Formats: sequence, C-alpha cells, structure tokens
Amino acid sequence: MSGPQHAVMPLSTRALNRMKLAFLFAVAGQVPHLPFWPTTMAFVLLAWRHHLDRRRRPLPPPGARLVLALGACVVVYLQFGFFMGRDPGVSALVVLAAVKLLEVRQSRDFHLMGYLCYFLTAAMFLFTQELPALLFGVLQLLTVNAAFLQLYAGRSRSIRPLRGASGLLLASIPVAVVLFVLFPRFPGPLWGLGGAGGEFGVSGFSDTLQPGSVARMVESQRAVLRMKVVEAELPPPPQRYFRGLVLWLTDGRTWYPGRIRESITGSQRRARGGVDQEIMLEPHGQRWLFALDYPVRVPPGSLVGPGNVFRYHRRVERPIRYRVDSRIGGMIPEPDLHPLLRRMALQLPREINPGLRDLVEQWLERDSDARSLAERVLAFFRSAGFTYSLEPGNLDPRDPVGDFLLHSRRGFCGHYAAGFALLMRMAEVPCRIVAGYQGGEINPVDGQLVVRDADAHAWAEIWLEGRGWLRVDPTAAVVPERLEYGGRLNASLDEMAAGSPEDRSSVLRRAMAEGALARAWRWIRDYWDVARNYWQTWVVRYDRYQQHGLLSRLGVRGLRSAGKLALVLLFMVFTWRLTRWLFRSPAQRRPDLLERCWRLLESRLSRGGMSVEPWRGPLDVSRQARRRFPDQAHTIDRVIQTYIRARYGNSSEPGAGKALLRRVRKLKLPRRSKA
Amino acid sequence: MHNAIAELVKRIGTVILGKTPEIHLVVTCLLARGHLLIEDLPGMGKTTLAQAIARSLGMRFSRIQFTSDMLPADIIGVSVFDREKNEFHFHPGPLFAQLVVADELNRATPRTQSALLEAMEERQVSLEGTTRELPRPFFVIATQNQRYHVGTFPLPESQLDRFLMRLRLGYPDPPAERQLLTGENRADMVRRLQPVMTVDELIQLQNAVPRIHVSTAILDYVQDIMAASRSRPQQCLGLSPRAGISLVRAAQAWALTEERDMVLPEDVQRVAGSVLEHRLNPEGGRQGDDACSTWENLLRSIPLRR
Repeated sequence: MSGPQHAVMPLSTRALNRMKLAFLFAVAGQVPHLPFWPTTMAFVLLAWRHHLDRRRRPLPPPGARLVLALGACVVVYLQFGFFMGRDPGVSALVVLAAVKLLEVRQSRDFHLMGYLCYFLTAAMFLFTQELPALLFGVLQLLTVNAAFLQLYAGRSRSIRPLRGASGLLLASIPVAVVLFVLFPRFPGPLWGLGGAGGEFGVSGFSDTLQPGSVARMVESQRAVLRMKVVEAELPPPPQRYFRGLVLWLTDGRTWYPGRIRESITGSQRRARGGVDQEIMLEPHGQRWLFALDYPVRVPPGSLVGPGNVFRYHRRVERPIRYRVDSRIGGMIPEPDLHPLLRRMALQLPREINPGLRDLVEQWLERDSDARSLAERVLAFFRSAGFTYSLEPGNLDPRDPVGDFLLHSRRGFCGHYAAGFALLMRMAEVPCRIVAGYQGGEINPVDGQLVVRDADAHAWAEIWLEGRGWLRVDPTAAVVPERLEYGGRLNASLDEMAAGSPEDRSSVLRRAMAEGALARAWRWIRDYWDVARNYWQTWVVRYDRYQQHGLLSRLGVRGLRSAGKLALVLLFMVFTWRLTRWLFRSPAQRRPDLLERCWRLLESRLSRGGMSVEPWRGPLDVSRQARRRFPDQAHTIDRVIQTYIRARYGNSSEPGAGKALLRRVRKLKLPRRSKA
Repeated sequence: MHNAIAELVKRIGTVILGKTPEIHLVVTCLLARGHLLIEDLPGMGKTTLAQAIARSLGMRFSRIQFTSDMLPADIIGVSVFDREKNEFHFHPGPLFAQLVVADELNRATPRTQSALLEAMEERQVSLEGTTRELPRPFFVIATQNQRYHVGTFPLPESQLDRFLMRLRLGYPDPPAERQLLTGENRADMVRRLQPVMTVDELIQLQNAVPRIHVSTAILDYVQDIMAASRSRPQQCLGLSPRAGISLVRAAQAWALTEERDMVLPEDVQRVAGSVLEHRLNPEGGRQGDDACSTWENLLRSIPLRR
C-alpha cells in the first residue's frame, strides 16, 4: 500500500466514533479544573460534529472553522485576560482541539486528534496528581488507544478494542517506569506553572480557637496525616498528642496565637528526642506542621518556634513529607520563661465572670502551688456534673466560658481547654492552649498511624516555675476513654460521660463494635489510604533526593543530570532494539550463513544503486543485476547460481556457504546513485 | 528449456500465434497431470489449441460440446443390449480419450458437470457396477464463457478447485493478428502437425515431475503464501490445502520445463497466477475489481526467506 493512497483513505465511522469518545473523556478530565466556558464549548463542538456525522452533512468550511478558532481564543482571553500560564494554556488547548475535531477527515487529522487527546491527559496532571486522576488518566489513554486500533482495523468489527488498548498500555509500563525513575529531576516543582491555590483540601484547623470550633471537624473522617515511627516503638495511645499550634491570647470568646518574634524561642534544644517519625501531612494552607508532642529535631526548611511550635518555611499547599524527632512525655523542660511569654500566658479578658472569681479565690485559699491548683480544677471538672457533648447547646455569646463553667457544663475539648486555661490564669498560673490531634488509628495494611480530622483535640499546658511546661488535658478528666480510643469515640462520648462505670464499658463496647458493612468500608478505606500514600511517596513526591537514594541503592552513585539523560537515551535505544528484536519478522529470526550471504549481496547491489524487492526470486534478481552491472554479469551470475544450488538444491555441499560468503565479499560493484 | 518441451511449445506456437507464455503454462499443466480451464470468448483459439496439443503429442482427442440437455451418459457412454450375443455391450462415450476438450462446460447441468469432474478427479468411470479406467494420459481442457450468463450453471468453487489452472488466452497482439488474417487456415495447419513426442515419452516426463526437488525454503514460501491468503479480510477466500498441493506440483512441472532439478521461487511465481487466481477469485471478475483477489498483490506482500 503506498503512502498517499493511505493518507486520503476515508475514516470509518467506527474509528471516528471511538475518537469522539476519547475526546469526550479527555475534556471530561478537565471539567473540575477549568472554568465553565472552555469545556462547555468543547462539548458543544463535539456534539455538533457528532450531529453532522449522523445526518451525513458536510463539515463546516475552512472560513467557519477559522472564525470558530478565533472565537475560541477570544473566549479564553475574556475568561482569563491573558494567555500565559497553566489555566489559559490548557483552556486554549481544549477549545482549539475541539475546533480541530470539526475538520477530522483523514487519517492524518485522526492521528493529530489522538495526540491532542494524549496531551490533554498529560495536562490533567498539571492540576492534580491524586490517585483518582491517575485512574481517570488510564481510562483516557485506553479510549485513545482503542480509537487508534479501530483506525488501523478499518471497518472491521472483529477487533477487541479494550483488550488491544490495555495491551498497548501494559507494554508501555516498563518503559514508563524506567523513564520515570531515571529522568533527571530538577529542584522545585516541575510544573511550576503558577497554579492558582485552593485545590488542596484545607484541613479543619484555623489559626484561632473558639470553644465550639472543633465540633465541625470531629464529624469528618478525612485523613490528615500519616505517621511512621522509625527505629522506635510507637508510643501508646494516651501519649499520641500531635502538637500543632499554641494559642496564647484570648478576648474571652476566641483564643489567638499572638505574634511572637522568632528570636524568643525559649525552648531548650536537645540533641535527640527518641521518637523519630516520618510524617506525611495533607495540605492545610497554614505554616505549622504536626509532630508528636514535643518536637525536638526538625528537618531543614522548618524550625521550632516559640511555644515549641513546629513551623514550615511556607504554607503547606501540597502534601508534604518530613522527618521529625520528638521527645515523648507530658513535660517540656525549660529553665525559665521569657517575660513577654509570661505576660502572654497570664493575659486575661477584660471582663471576667464574678462567679469564676469566687471559685478561684476559694481554691487559692487552700493551695498556691501550680500543680495542686491544676488538680483542683480537674477535680472540679470531674465532680461538678460536667459532661462531654459535641452539641453543647448555645452558650451566652458575651461570656461563653463563664456560662459553660458555671451553668451548662456541657462541652468538648475546646470548652474544657479554654475553661481550664482561664481558671489557671486567674490563679496566676501561666497557661496556654495547644491545638492539634490526639489519637489516630493504625492502618492494619501497612502499620502506619493515620490521624483524621475527627482526632482534632485541644489541651492546655501550665508553667511550673523552674521546671517547664506541663501538659494538662482537662477533657481526659471528664472522659478518660478519649485518650485511649481517639476520635472514633466522639459520637459516644456524650453518653459515656453521663453514665456510671458499668454503663461506660457497655457504651464503649457498642461504640467499638461495627457491622459487616462498616468493616468492609474500613477495609476499603485502609487500602485506599495505603495506595494513596504509596502514590504520594513514590510518584508525586519522587524528587531528586528520592531519585538519588533509589539510584544509590541500585548501585549507581554520583550521577549528574547529564549522566541520567545519557542513561535515559541509552535505555531508549535499547528498548527500540529490543522491540525490533521481539517483533522481528520470521525471515529475520534465523539468519543462517546463506541468508547472511544473500543480505550481503543485497547490500552490495543496493550500494550500486539497485534495490532488491523482498519478494523477488534469485533468478529475477540475477537477471536484473546482470543488466545493471554488465561488467560483473558473469561473477554475479555465478554467485547467485551457487546460492540457488545451496538454498534450493537437493545436494548439500559442505562449506558451500563459507565459500559463497567469501565470493560475495570479493564482489566489487561500481557505486552509483539510485536509479 | 527442456529440448523436447521447447520443441513442443514452439510447434504449438506456429498454430497459436503470440501466446508462448500461455502455451508454456498449458504444457506445464499437462505435465503436472492437472486439468485446465480456459475462460475466454468464442473464437479465441481454444479448440485449435487443444487440437494442436493433441496432434503434437499423438494423443487421442475428442471434443464435447456441452448443452443444457446433456446427460452424463452422453459423455461417459452407454451399455447397449446386443441381441446376437445376448449381453450388454458398453459403448464408450467421448470421455474415453486422452485429451478431452469440454466446450462451454457451464452450459451443462450440474449433474453432467459433476460426472465430468468426478471422472477428472478419479481418472476412472464407474458404470453399472463396473469400474472402467480412463486412458492414460488423461487431460481435460474445459472452456467456459463467463460473459453470457443466461442459461448457464456456473461451476461452484469446490469444482473450480479441481482444475489445476485457469487461463485466459486473450486477444492476440497486432502482428500476430495480422499473420492470422493473412496466413492459411488453422484447421489445415493443425491437421498437418507432426507429433513431437510419443505418448510414452510424455508419461515419462509426467513421472519425472514429482522427482523435482522441493527444498524446505520453497515449502516455507508456499506456506507463507497460503497463510497470507487466509489472513486477509474476511470477504476473500483463503487457499485450501489442495491449492497448496497444486501450487507445488505446478511449480515442479514448470521447473521441469525449464530443465531444472529443483524448484525456485520464480517457478512458484510463474505458475501462481494461473493456479491461484480461480481459487482466490472464483467469480472471474477482471483483476483489480476486488482488492483481495489480486494474486500479484498477494505475492508482492510475501518476502522471500533468503
């Protein structure tokens, strides 16, 4: 089949329909990331094309397509006001590809359309690199592959497109893996196309705490961070406090972190904490990072600031992974408190409920020591009819803490932490609130600790003169089970706090028991979590450090980018040769001596300007060659006759092949340009 | 070319002008013990060709003009009761000849057609319980005209397969035609033809055909051709094993005419057209009408194993 004939071959309807399907998928992948207009326009043009095909109407003339293309550019410009960057770029790609679809007539257009679809799939990953995108991307590739397969199968219905398309995709995986591993990584995000923010799911924490604000989070089961302890034991559940931010200031209703110069660290650095953790944190749009209470040694690019707050150098806007060393225990030893911090830790709202003042004065009459005062407050929480509730009802908006402590006495960690801190400060004990997570669950699949929004927690720390900050968790005084079972218990804690010890254990049993459906759901969630984690760790976060580590584990060290590129090129060449070898035609499979003779003769002849068609028999070739090289006619004829006898004859002369090879090598033909 | 065969081809060529390649193929078909189907318009020299062959080989010749009311007995023969001897006596039909020209085979009813085709295949005739051997050599040249379909019974594919080759003589080129117009009567020329070889010599040559060496390379090639014919789009026919056997046998015969003791790919290619075309394209439409029927394309798509 000659080339031009192939090019004008009309496309079969089946192939065209498959390509439309592929384009539909390719654009559908962009819908969540692009504004309304570009994708809608693409869908409309696709529908139009389909309508024209169904009705067998002619495609729009070139002028109309030109107008459409310009219109598409105008739409993009109106939407963004500029053309540079990721969003306008992909939008333009989507709409212009849709215009291109209107002129797909030949196999050449079809190919271009297919490549555009591949490109759209790649563009989808500019927006999201999550696992669902990968799955959808695979689907997109399958549809494009199927379209191409149908193109080459013509009108035939006998092909199995899904099978063929998956085969192609599977065959490409080894190449993709090697290229992924070897291709040089450059510092900074490769897709630094200035993506607009907002794509990351912001975790529930804001940088302020109102007593009721945690309630919204504890309903959510979204995983916030995953932790793996390196070379140490995972601390027991009651010790699993993940320190987030520290809140110093309050106006009686809301607690704020306050602004503190980084130079006032106050915390004493230690060489080793003892629990080395590897944490993968979901983006939350803030600068603080979470670590087991309290972080000691932190990775480059982060620091431990005032209040032992572990901070990153920028906002966390994509999943990050870090290693941090923490010291476990309820006490942060510090010799002295910076005067500014002491002032902040004793700051009180302007108006204080007189009932509370009376309460604190009663306690102060008996105790002055910070620790015993804290015990008093906890005893107060335990004995004065306080209950745990995620629906504490409406508190007096002017004095929610006073209302909670004196009247409603229903609340959860935020209320207890805030109430405790206020009481301690009134008793002149420096106190601060720490927000973070407590608990988490171990994923049985990979043994990592998964912390969810539901594990959000707030607790308090009091200053013991000359010794340091001591963690006090007032919520635990009301419902000790919270520490053991974490956020899973949230819904039942209510009931539990109200009941007697016997009731408590039965409620606990009920809360921990789960039906088959819930178990299945948990199982799926666990596996999905792990899959996502691997994806994030090994694919999305695969940077040059990881590459370096992997390559050195494979025994390749000190390779520069150029070296890696060379390796990639080498691999490509190797793959190409391997593919040719694997899919070699039967004639190439056993190159025996005679065949080598013939190939050599062929190459001699073709250098002389005579091309040997592969289906031509030796006699024909001989005749042709004798006409072409009259001076060598005799030699050529003898060579070919020998070949014929050896290849097709009855008698096998030993050594004929070698003799022939020598003779062919000696054959000198004049070089001429190809006829 | 083999001396005697070259002489034979040359001698026939004096009567049928400008058709040397076709005559060569006819002789090849005869040597391979195959039967020949000629498809052409009336008056293209089919019968003259057959007569010339019969004359030059000294073969007994008979001609059957098929019509739609013909019965098997008309070609095979009948047993007639002899009153004097009080027994049935078999009167052999025109089929009992060494060279049979079956003119316009497609005018006969399928019953009569199949009687002929069966005889061709078995080289014997069974009649009323006795089996009668047909003479040796036995060579049938059937002709048919595809142009006029009214009142014809086209040969089905399965029966086309029984013919080793199908040929078209085609119009002569202008010089040959001029010579035909000015020259003497062909029938007279045929009558004057002297035999080139005896029937025994012909049988010897026929016996030599299977001894021509067929190397594995050639068998590979033939199998490649068959496989390629079978993997084409569905509406095209693939080649049957019998087609493969025929191709090898015809190539051997061709190699013999070229006085070679081995088969070369060229031998296969020279005979492929006439051996394969009617199996690939039974309708007999002109080549190129249907993309899958062109045996040239088929051959060109198969690289030789060197």
